[in-house]
Amino acid sequence: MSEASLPPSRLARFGTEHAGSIRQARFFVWTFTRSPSAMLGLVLVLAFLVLTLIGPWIVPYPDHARGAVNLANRLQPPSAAHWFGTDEMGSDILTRVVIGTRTSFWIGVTITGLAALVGVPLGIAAGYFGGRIRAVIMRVTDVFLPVPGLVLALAIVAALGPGILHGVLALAIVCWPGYVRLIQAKALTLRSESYVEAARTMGASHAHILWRHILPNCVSPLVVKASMDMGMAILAAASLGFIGLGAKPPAPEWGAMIATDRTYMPDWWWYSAFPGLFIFLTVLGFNLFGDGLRDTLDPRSSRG
Amino acid sequence: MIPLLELREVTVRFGTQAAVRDVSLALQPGAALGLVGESGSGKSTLLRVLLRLQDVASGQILMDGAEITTARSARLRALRCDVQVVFQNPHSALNPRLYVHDAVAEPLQIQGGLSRTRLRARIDGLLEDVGLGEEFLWRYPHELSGGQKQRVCIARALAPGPRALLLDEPTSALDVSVQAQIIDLLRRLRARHQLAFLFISHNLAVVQLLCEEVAVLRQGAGGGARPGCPGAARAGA
Amino acid sequence: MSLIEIQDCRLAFDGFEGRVHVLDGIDLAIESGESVGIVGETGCGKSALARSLLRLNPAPPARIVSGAIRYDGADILAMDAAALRRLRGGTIGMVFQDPVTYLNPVFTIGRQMEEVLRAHESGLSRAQRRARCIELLDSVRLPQAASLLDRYPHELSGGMRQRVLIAEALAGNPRVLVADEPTTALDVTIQRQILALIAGLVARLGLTLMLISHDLGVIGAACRRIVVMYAGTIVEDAPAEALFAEPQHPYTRGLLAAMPDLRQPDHMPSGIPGSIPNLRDPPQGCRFHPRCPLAMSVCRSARPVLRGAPHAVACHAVGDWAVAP
Repeated sequence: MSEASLPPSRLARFGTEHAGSIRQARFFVWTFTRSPSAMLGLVLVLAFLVLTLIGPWIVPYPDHARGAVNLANRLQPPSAAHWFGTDEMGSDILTRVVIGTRTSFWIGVTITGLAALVGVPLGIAAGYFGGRIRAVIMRVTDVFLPVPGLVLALAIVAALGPGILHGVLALAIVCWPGYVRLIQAKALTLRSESYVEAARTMGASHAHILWRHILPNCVSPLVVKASMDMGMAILAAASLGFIGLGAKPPAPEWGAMIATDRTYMPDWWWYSAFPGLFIFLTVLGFNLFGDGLRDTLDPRSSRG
Repeated sequence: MIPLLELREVTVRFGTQAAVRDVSLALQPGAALGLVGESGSGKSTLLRVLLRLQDVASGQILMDGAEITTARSARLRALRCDVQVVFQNPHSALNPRLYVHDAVAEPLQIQGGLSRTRLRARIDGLLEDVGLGEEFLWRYPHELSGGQKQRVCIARALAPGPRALLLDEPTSALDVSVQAQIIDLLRRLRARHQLAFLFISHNLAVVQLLCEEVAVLRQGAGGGARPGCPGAARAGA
Repeated sequence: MSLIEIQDCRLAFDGFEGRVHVLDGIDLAIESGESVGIVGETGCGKSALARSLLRLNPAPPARIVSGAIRYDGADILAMDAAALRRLRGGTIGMVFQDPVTYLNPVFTIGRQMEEVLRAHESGLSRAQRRARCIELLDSVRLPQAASLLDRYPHELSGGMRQRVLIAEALAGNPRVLVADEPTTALDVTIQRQILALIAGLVARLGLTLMLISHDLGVIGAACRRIVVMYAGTIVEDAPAEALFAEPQHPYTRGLLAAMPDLRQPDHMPSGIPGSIPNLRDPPQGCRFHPRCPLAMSVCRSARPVLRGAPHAVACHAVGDWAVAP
């Protein structure tokens, strides 16, 4: 074998074979960073994730997270020692709010994850195979869709009994039909794309077509919806906590914290203001981020 | 001679409406048959019937004289290598998430049996066949011009080694200067690989450059072969 | 003074990986009553040019880098929103390629047309508006105009929809009609009818026509003057007969040679070798030189100017001023 025909180095080959992906990634970054609202969303989401990750190591009073009692310090207004004030047990609200990001994070991830896990396969089956399979799946989905989400969740929690786990389960049950709808519509249009028909004329199996053509093209709308739903799920879980059907005090959960403070309003405003602010910023962040992703990943947005 | 592909009094219905009514047509091995008609005349439906993407209400589809109207699974897969398709709009005929390399590799991978190096060599050969260099291998479809995309589609159609290409207005979405290049390419490929062409178009001038025979579809029914070219295209019952 | 004057217009899109020079020094003057066809292939900037006339290019990313666009002496680039509204759909009517996407599927034809009328003739009563709609639909030769008003877009064929859009474009009593690929989405036989309709309306109403198409045949059927564009520049600007009889620019000749001709079955059309340049980094000198059979060294360095009247061409290699190779 002559030297000229030796295979190029692994790294060089990786470079050529992924040049397109790298160009595409750079294009996504370029589009995304040009939108101020998307960037704000990204910053808020990143801040939320960072707090989730390192929260326990940066908060001033780690032991206050699970409700330490320190009655000497109860209901203090914001001060240098307690930036966000203290609650009726004397716990530091900053600590509890920051640790609350963890609760919200796993609530959001579990709800959207479960909903997507159920909704995506059903949606793909309905959209791609059509016919009777689609009729059955969509009929079942349609039963869930017209019921207002929170009301359905309330009913489910009422049946299962209150508690954060039941709340999460209830909200996942509320969320999945949205994924079926979204993915079903997408798969339905993809099914009649010329490249899918071409694959069929090559004798491709359904598994091949689903894996190679349908699924990869469903990823963008899925990521966008999941991001938006993170915000919605966190808000809904907080709502359940607020009316006492979700997380229970002293668990550091934003909705439950606001609920406890109802009786102390308006004199002890900081107690509910800071958890409320965190809910607001988190939900806003995920929504703006999702919006930005939608604009960036939209296949119709042409490359400038 | 036994036709490579034959339709016998095929009718296709969408709901109660007949999109194609009693159309018969034969494509001889190595022949080039043009199929012209206005939009809505059922040209594309007929093409989908021949590709077995569309079921018929009545009539027969034959390949090499054997009926394939209802052929399924393994038998159908074997047949499919012999008949490949190039669609009208190259922009939607390629998966936007796949590289040129992956698009051309797809039919070969489905057939299987090629080692990594032989697969690559085959892809290089196919791209060279359609006049595309190695620099196109790792590009996404949106980084190609319309003509280049259509060349990739042709390479992909040639990959399984078909005996017939069904061409659904392959040049009508392209610029004229590019159209001429693609027509030239198709003529050369047909000669080199002894391909049969079924060429669907609304443009008679383009059809006449590629085909020896022309059949006309009118409102879903065959309207007869073009005068002066009798014989093989027996369109219409 | 010409009705429409475009002077040294440069339009760029600021995009990922840099600036795309879509229009590069366009000079075009259109007299009142002229019918001008603009022909060129994908990415030559013909649609961007038509849209610039109404400032319809989305900005950003689009940006007029330099130059002037004037209508009847008024600077379009400096117009405020109100003046621009009067221009769009009022003085200048526009017809687009795909009649499906420009009609709202949930409203009847009548409702959509009345909306256009309300925008431009506010003084009309309901009955008057309806009468005017019927009159407009009659003028585009749609039969049974009155019953058509209560129908939805999906009940109409492609050709009928395009006629409705032409009627809408006429609603503001325009002096200029800009038609961007009005027949591309239609069948060949319908194409001819729509072109004949446009040509008829232009003659009857004394309109000035700017017709954009990639198809020289379409342009030739409706226009007296043809402008050929390539990669953001005008390469040839000539009366239709002269252009078809004696095309000067190598690109125009290439385009004509590439068209298959039903009457010459043995003539194999030849494509133009190469492909359109990347407008992020267009070739120096003449933008066509990398594909040009007549390219000389001067073509690589100096930009040819559009010269000659009425048959103008921008090429170093042809015309009286041709440079010896």
